[in-house]
Amino acid sequence: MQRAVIEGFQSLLKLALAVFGIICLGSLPGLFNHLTVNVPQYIQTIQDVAAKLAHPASITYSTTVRPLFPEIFIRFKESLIIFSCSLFFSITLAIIVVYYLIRLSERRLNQVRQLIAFFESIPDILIILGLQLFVVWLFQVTGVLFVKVAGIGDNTVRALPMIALSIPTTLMFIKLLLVRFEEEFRRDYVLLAEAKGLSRVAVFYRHVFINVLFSLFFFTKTTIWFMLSNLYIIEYFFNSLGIFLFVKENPTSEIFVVSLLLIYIPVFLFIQAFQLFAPDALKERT
Amino acid sequence: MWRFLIRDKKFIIGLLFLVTLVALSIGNTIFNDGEIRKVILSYDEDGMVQVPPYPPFSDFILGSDQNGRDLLHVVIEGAKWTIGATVVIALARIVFGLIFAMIISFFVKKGYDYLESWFDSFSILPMTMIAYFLLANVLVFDSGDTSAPSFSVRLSFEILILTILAVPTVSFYIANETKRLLREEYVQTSRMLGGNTKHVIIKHIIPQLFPVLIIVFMQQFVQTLILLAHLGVLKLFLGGTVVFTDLNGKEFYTASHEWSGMLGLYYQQLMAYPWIPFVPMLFFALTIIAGNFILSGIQKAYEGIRKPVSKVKKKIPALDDMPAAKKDSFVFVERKDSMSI
Repeated sequence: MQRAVIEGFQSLLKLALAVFGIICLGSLPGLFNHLTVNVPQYIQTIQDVAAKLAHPASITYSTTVRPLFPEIFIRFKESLIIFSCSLFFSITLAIIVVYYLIRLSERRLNQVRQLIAFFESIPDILIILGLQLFVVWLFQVTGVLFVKVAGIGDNTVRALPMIALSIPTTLMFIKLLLVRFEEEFRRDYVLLAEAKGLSRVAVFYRHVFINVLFSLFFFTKTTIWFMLSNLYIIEYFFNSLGIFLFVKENPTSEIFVVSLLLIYIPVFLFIQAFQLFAPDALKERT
Repeated sequence: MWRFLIRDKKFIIGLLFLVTLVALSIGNTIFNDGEIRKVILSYDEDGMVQVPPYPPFSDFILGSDQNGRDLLHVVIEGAKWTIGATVVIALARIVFGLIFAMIISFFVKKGYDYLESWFDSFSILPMTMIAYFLLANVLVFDSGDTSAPSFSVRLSFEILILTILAVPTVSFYIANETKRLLREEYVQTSRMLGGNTKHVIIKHIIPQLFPVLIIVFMQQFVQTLILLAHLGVLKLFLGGTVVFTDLNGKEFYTASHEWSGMLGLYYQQLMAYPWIPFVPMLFFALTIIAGNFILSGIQKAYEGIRKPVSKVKKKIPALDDMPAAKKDSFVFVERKDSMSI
């Protein structure tokens, strides 16, 4: 019980520090005053931003002075929908692909690995440009616009950003899962299970598969960082009205900080919850 | 390490590509005064007048832009800026990261976890977003703006910001690696025998970290290139964006021929002349692929050093090779008793 209280307190302290870090980051434009470093002004900016955050209802955006809340939640929801759908889709697809890949021979698997490494090198912008051109080309050939190419006004565009985000993410997951499956198959319990006469399929489903899926949680940060980096540029390209485009259009310190907090705090809570509830055996392994 | 790398075809291809590109680019500046081949009008076989942009594989291998400039030539001229800046940024990230890593892993004992969580947001939030936010006000200016800082100042400021943004992540990565090394027995023995911090860093930590640093350097190289491409699309060009405002609206120009600027400039022409924005994109992609080739080559070589080269397979004698048991090999001493039991 006491241990839980201490851990909870430590988590809170970490969260507070991270929030302070984000405020410092958001105030950085105050430090560079026409390319010269101005420390007192920076401290002043930090105080200003913190004061504004204390009264969130008073924060406004754009030149026409509109309240930030709840507009920012609407934008956040849009990003969240694209993000979570792509994540779900990518993981599912990657698991299916890897399930078939691990049955290949070692030589074939190596070829697949090199292919994946090659496709991973292709910058996301090239994929986005290619997708846009492809849809336009399809439209020219067939006369049917399958998905909207870009959002205009209040029209939201979702299908294409999701596809664009899913392609690199799926590749990343396939690569990650392949490595994890190989590590898992080399472990002793697999050998033991096989020695006891369990079939490979049973071992795969009962043990390896579940262990690998759980171990994916250890890559939460990398995955989220990777996907958010892509999402930022995707929102710009497809004019999808998510939170990143909102920050880009309204580049003030307080909006930047609020948006970063909206993104960061859920991820932080998720990681802390995982640390708290995950079985210890799982934690020790990696 | 080299004897592994020389044999690696991919590594050689990647390295040759980068070196050739930069050498051609510098050569263009020295021997050709940075001039770019430009054809404003040309005639086809029927004597018809052709105006730019010319498609690829016509007069120009990769086509030309709307001003009739040879795209391949522009890309080569810009290569030294883009690749040069990327190398400088990646190198600076490693150097500063290493220094901070040494400081935090040797002198920060208690507050390490808290220091890490202070910078934790860097490990989740997209770097393009932070970089754009910090640079947008500084790098974009009007063409008539005389108060704007000079090209070199802007370039160094951008390099500085792009370096600082990655230093926390790199530092903590190296620091964690250093902490692991510090727990090794030989380091503790060295300490016990009287080695001070300086001795431990120079003799034990740096040599062990060196391969890790090279791998991190190549990763940062690729990451920085992607970051520059993103910023280019967002109209933040390396060394600054010049905005011309006329009746048609705003036009953006880059101060040099570097690739992120080309990408941002040509992106508007995607639907009309798709090959124009694809050329800088292609070279970004090729450079990233070359970087990844080099990275995988180094990683393989590093693994090769750790493992002994010649694996002598243990010879397990097959059953047939064993001397067959002869009849007299086993003799029952007391046959009757053994049977009765």
